[in-house]
Amino acid sequence: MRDASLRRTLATTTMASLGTALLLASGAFVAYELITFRGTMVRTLSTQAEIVARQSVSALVFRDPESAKATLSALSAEPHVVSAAIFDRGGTLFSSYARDATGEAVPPRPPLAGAGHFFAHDRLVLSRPIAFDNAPIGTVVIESDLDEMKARLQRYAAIVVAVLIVSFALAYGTAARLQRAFTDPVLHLAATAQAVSDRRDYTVRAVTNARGELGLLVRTFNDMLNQIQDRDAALQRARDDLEGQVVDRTRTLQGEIAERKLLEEQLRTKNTDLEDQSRRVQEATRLKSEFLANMSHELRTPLNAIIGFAELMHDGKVGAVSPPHKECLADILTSSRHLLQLINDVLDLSKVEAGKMEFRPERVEVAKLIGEVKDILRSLSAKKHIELAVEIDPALDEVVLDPGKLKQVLYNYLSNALKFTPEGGRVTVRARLEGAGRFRLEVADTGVGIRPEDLGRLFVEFQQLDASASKAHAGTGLGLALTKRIVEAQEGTVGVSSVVGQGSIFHAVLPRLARSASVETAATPARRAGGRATLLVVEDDAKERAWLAETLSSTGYAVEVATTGKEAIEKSAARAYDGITLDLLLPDMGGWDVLKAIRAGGPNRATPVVVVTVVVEKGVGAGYAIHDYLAKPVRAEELVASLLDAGLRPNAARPVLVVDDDPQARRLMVTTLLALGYSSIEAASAQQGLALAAQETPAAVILDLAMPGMDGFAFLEHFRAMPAGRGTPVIVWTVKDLTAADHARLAASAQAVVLKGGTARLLEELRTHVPLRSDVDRPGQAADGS
Amino acid sequence: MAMVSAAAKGLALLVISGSLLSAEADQRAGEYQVKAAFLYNFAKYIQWPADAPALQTGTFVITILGRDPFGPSLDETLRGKTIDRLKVVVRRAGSPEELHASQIVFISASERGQLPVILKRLEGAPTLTVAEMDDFAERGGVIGFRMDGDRVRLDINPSAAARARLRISSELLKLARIVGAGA
Repeated sequence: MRDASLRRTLATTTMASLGTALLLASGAFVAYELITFRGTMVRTLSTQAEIVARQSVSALVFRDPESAKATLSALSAEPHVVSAAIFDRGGTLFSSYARDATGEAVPPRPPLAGAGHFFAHDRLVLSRPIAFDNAPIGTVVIESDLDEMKARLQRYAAIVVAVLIVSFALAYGTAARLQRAFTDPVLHLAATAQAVSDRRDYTVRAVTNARGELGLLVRTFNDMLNQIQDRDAALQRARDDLEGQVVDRTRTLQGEIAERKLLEEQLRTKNTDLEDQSRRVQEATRLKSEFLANMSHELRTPLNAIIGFAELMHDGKVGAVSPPHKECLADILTSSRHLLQLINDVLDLSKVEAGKMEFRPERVEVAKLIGEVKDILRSLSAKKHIELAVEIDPALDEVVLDPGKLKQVLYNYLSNALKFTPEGGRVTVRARLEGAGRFRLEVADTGVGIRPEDLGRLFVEFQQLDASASKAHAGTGLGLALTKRIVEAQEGTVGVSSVVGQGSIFHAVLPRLARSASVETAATPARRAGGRATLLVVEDDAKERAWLAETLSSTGYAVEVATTGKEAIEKSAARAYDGITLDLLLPDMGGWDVLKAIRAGGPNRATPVVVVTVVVEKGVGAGYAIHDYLAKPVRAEELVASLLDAGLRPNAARPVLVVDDDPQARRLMVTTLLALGYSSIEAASAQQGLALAAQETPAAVILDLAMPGMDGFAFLEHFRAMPAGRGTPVIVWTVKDLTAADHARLAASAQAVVLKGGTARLLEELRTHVPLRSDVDRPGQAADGS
Repeated sequence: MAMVSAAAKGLALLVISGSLLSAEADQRAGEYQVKAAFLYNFAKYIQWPADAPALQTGTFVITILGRDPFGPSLDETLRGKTIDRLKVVVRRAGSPEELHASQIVFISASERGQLPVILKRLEGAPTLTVAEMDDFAERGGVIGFRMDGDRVRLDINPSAAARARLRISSELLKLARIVGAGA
């Protein structure tokens, strides 16, 4: 098949080329011959026409058609002339001749008088002018057939065919013989390749004695086979080698696998041990946390009572107290508060350790927060005559952090600094931006300083630098450690630098935006307007209950009590309370279940609830709306502040607005007012006072004059200009020595001016302008009676 | 109506006969035009002897003897023509005595009676005698016009031509009827 194909291809190629060449050559030759022959025909016929024309002149001149006809008849000697005619000058047929006598074939009149010819169909028509005396007198036209040309064409065709046949025959014979010269080696090569391929036998070789490209091809093919054979041999050797290696390696590997299995077994045993240990450690940690929680509960319950009653006694709420007694009570209060602080710190520490401390980030004005902490410590700094300065970078206005925790940090640093700074020293609080997303809080003092070797111990629990200092300054020893934990839990860092004898700088660097903080501006609860607020106190412990009831009713709230969860649910279903304090540990059921029942429906569905408890896990209550959460033991001010925040006023009257920059003075006034039965709101600056006045429409204003920023005089001007300020009594309470001009200004806008140094006169004045409910009730009853 | 018709018929007849008359006249005019052209064309087929007296004058003279049947056609045909660079001149003679040296003499039918006299007078002169009388060539003239239907045919007397020393081209001879040599 293959050799036939190759041979046939070669033969076909040869024949096709030869045929094409011959046909082209023959075609060209025939075409040339035809063109030439046509020329010859025209020339021959032209000559005959010329002769006829000459011989016909006299006939035309003397109008003798017969003579002309005789001349034309001579054309019969030419067998191809079909017809001929002579036309006179006017184009009229003068004489004609036809080869076939039967037809009256007359050649067509020439389109032009004169010489010319054209081939039409199978005719050649030729015309020549007849001239006499140099003037045309007629035209001779001869029509010839093309039979001769056709005959020639046929002969040519026959010749071409014959040439082609002979050529092909010769070419085929020659080609067949020549082809063998190169097809044979190629076919042999193909057969060899086929054999190699079929049998995979690389020892076969092609044989050739050819030279040139074919010989080269065969030799290269043989070389290739040699190389393949060599490679096969090399491969076989390598494979044999490899097998040996594989056997070796496998043996080694098996050894290693066995070894590793042994190790794994050991590892598994160790893991199990470790897991056991880990479980034990976790258990121990859990037990420790549980113990701490229980301990603090057990400690705080009696402590709550101690502090609460000591406060009441100290404040003379349960009868007159002599100064030595009062001093003892103050000592009791200080010591028990210290103890409470210690317990709180230990608890916080354990919470941080257990990762249970919760952070509730919200927008915090740094300056305001620092001011608040500073206010808390003002009495301490004042006592030691320490100058307390605050430097805040104006670029740092707000951060988003848990304000309580931030306060705790600052309080610890600041109280520490005050403790270790001698009288007349200076403590500076600095706050500034640090990097893109962080800020730095610094407290620098001019205290004794810390030795470099002691710096490392500073932030470690229960490590106080010396016992004497501990006694002198009454610290818990946990403050800095707790600070460190709190800051680090918020992804911050703490640090200290110090020079002995010159002072120390404590710092904390915190992110400005707490991670995953859902920023909520502390919602201002809707204030309830008017009405004496009635509270439901849910508390099982009799002593606690008595203290709560006493404190709240002395503040001016109406109080109802429930001693069990069941009772609490029944009472809250019966009527609407303005507020509820809820202990979570009740004898019959859990506090959360009580809350759930209250929230489920009924009149107290939306009543603010203040949880008062020793239970520390706040997370459980996340699903229920709680206004506030207070840890026992609770201080009276804390509780009242929380209730006021919930919009619960102790009595019906509008509050008294206290505007004073001194927090001690404000606290004194607020406590005094509360003790009397007035509700109050306080403002630390004139601006805040104006804002509160617009919001609350106070019953009266107690106003300090000397305040930073806007002073009391300016406050009065603005206050009188706003709707809430018209007709509202203002009592100025100040230490300022007033000039005549001041008195004149105040006379126009203030109802009274009382100098600081006691509250009795002030309260007298207030009472004249804003009568208490008890004062009002009597005339009111009389009015009703009349 | 009948009167009108008769008048119209009369008019039509008149017109037709008029046109017939006119056609006959045209035919005759055509015949003489042809004959005039023949007279001129004879010169191309006939060679006169070099000593012919008319040649000495530098003109080719054609004389019409007797009544001129050509009308204006001969003059129109020959106006401005030359033969062998000789100016063609037409003369008219009333009698044989007025015949001067001419290359061609056309003897009008009016001179039929005096034909022997005329031929006698022209005996030996190199002059081509042409007439349209019957048997002119037989009677000793060189070329005679003979009407065959409406076609003009020629009779030629080669002996007469030889006597006048005129050589007539075979081209012309093959067109003509050759007539008797006697005289």
